[in-house]
Amino acid sequence: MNADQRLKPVVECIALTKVFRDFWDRDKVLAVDHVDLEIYPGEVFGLLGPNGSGKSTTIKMLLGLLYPTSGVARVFGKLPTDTAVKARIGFMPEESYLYRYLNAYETLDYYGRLFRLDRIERRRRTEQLIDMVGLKRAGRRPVGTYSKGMARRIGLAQALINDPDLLILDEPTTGLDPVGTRQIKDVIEILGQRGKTVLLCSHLLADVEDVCDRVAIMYGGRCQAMGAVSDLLERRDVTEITTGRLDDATIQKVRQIIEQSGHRVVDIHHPTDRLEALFLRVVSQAQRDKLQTSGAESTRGVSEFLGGTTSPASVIDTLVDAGRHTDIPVEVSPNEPAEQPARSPQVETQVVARLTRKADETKQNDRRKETGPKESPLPERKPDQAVLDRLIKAGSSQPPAAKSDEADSGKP
Amino acid sequence: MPAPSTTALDENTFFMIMFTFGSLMGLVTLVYVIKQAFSRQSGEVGGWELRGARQRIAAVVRTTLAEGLRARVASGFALLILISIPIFWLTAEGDGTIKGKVQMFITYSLGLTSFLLAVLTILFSCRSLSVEIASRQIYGIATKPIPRWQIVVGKWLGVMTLNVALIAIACLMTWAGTRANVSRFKKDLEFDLITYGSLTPSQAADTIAALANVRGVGKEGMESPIIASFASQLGKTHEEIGDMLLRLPESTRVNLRRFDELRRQVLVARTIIPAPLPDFSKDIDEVYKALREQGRLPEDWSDRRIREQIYKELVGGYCAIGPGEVRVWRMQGPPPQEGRDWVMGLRFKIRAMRQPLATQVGGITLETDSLLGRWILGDPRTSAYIETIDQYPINTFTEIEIPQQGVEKDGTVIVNFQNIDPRQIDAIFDLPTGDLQVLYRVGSWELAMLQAALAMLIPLSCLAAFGVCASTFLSFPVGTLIVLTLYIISSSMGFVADSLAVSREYAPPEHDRTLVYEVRRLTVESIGFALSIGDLDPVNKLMEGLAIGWKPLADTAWKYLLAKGVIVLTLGVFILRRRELAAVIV
Repeated sequence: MNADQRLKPVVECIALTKVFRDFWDRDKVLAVDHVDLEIYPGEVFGLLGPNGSGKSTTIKMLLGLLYPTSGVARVFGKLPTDTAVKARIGFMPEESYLYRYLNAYETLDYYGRLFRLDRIERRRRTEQLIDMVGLKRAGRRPVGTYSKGMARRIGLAQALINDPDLLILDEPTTGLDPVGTRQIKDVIEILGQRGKTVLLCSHLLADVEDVCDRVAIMYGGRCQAMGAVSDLLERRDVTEITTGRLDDATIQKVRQIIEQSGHRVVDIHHPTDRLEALFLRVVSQAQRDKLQTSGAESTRGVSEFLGGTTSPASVIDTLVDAGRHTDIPVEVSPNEPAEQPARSPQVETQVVARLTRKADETKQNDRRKETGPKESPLPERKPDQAVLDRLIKAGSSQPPAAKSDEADSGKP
Repeated sequence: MPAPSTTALDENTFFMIMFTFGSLMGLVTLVYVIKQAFSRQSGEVGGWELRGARQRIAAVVRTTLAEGLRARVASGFALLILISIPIFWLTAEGDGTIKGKVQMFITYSLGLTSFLLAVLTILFSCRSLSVEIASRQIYGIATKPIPRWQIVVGKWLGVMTLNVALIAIACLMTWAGTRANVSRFKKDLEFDLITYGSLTPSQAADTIAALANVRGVGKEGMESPIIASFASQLGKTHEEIGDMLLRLPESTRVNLRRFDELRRQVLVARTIIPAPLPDFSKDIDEVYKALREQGRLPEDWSDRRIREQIYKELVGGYCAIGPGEVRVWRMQGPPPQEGRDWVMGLRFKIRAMRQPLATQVGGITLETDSLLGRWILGDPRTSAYIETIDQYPINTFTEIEIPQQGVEKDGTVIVNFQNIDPRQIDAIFDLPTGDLQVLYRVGSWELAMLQAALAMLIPLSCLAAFGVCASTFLSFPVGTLIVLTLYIISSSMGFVADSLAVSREYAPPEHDRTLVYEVRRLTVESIGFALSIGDLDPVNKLMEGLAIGWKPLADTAWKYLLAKGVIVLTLGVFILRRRELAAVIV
């Protein structure tokens, strides 16, 4: 638990209660029942519970969309219905309720205007966020034509347009593919590192477990359990040792040592990879191979203004793309691969300087992480060649290895 | 056994019963609303500072407009307007003359525009917030730092921006279409003058230019002032011009007169002075006194009711002109101005006591639904007067022009009417509703068009305020139904006023005003105000070359846009600030 009790809580609920009444003012449903909650700055807090447990109602009261029947909710020490508070909040609802006929750029621009961001800043953040959520290619299409997952990505982008101090996410990963899910987790981690507060409401336990410092479990409108994730999940009666691959003889020796010390070996097995990790590696590789998609595209880490870094690869890609659109005609022999236009030494120097800066920043960010090594944003991951080979063995006529090498060789 | 009389219930008693019932219902509603408003913990807090309001409101306006246009709600209506106006331009014929054509084009194009815009405003404003609340798009806005009043104002401004744009386009198209009609007429006339009138092209062009210099109006048996204008322009004698005109086709000659009328009666901005009613208070007292002395006062009638009845009868008697009778009105206009286009008009509507049927009198056929009358305009004791005898259609407005000599130097116009119809029918001018008016020019047609455009915006702004307010707490279909009903009722306000049995003609003297009378007057006036949306009938006025006038425009804008619109929008803001925006999901 990293909450500092001396700090003023960002979110505070005291005996928060919500009763839904019918037309004749008769009590119908007790949605939230005397919930006490405190979330401190920099905390990533998870609100867990099955469907209909009162999570969303609690969140809506914290956003001023519903008013408590009794009890008090405070955000940044003020009532949630205070307009001033809203400038510091980012909210991603459980579904993306967007203007169907606006495109992604117009949508984000609109929300940026509500925060009174100036034109240059709005444009910068809009570009970065759309790039971040991988909707650059679909950015000019009306949002109404988006798939559910793509709409969710815009929902995430709009929640971040004001670089919020408190990010409230209601079922953030519903409808998202694992890449989008991973990205939301990255955003949460980076905001957490920057001292921002995140309130996450979900019934997908794996998501909460991955990112949350503290969780509360709700049922029947009441808070049934609350505490740090590590405290709640630690199994003190079991010990797990992880090492490299062992031969049978060594395993036998270890077993003997354990049994000699009076303990019992419960299980010995090779750990399996998580399906999420495998999926991310495969998609990452496909994106490196520049396979076409009409949906959401490669995600370039987390936007700079949110404290993330644009991956070195994307900077190079941008410059290469710019070079391709030059007016100078390039003669290409039909049988030979086209040579990439040479970059000017000046541009080269700028790129190198920028990349070095980015790399340093990334290192510093890594050092700042206190919770041990975590998975880095997608494009920085190395493709797992063995996995890819296994997957593509049957289908593709082109050996992926050549493409992969080519792609990698172009990147520092 | 005699049937129980329904008149036994005194009018005021009946009113008080209904008033008490209505007040009770109103009170119950008010208590419910207040209870709802204050039962929850709170509504929105703060948000009244104006810093950044402009930018946020502008953002809401932009998005409202973009959504409306792309969702094909607004764009469909806009397209319909843009397509219909050219179609009307091509098809509007009227009575076949240039005047009829132009008048019909103006009525159709602007009439359709104002109707379509009213429907568009109702649909667009009623869906503005209700759809966002129902589809939860409001979550994205209400959780951003925009106060809810700015959302309401933004929505209203979004609807009004669209209205302003569409009215501007429609007026511009109508203006261009009318000007095109006029220039097409002039081209046809030029052709006829060259072909039939044997004029050279330059003479024809000069003749057409002379149309703008026609002074005065023609009258029966006198030479048309058009001839004088042509003669002076071409340097020819009146006889030569007369011969030349006789060689033109009949339709062209008719159109020449109609064009002159169009120039002076339609493509101008004129104002109206209604014929005044005399002060009857002394007469009422006299009649009342006489009746009392004769012991003929109805015993079960209140004093006020008797006086009201006497007033009604006096007005009715004054407005009715029996066979052979003469009535004289003195109207006060502005002092006559020197100006070549300066012409006054007399506009009237004769109602007949019974339907006049066609008959032959002394070799003249008197048509069905027309009355034979004699107007003398100007002081008949001097030589500067004009007399005209004609059959005038009943129940429809007719306009006669008064030449400058018919108006005295201080702007007084003396109007005589004699009912000379041999069918022995009373002619009635309903003066309280403005059946007899004097008109005079106050500016160009463009001014009249501008005022008409602004007047068209007032009811739309009022409807938009109602729509946006309704959308803060009603669903789209319910809100639309209610505002549409309001629009229909307000469009037939005369009927509503009649059904409420309002007698505004006669107010009892101060000392005679009872509490019931005041309560009743206030109730009727509030209902009238609540149900009306400030329709100044701009399209018909524009068709008749009538300027609405800046003062009536300002008065109506103040009453319906600023007072009523702001009250309704404030109510919408209040509701949106108090209400919970999230749906009930457990």
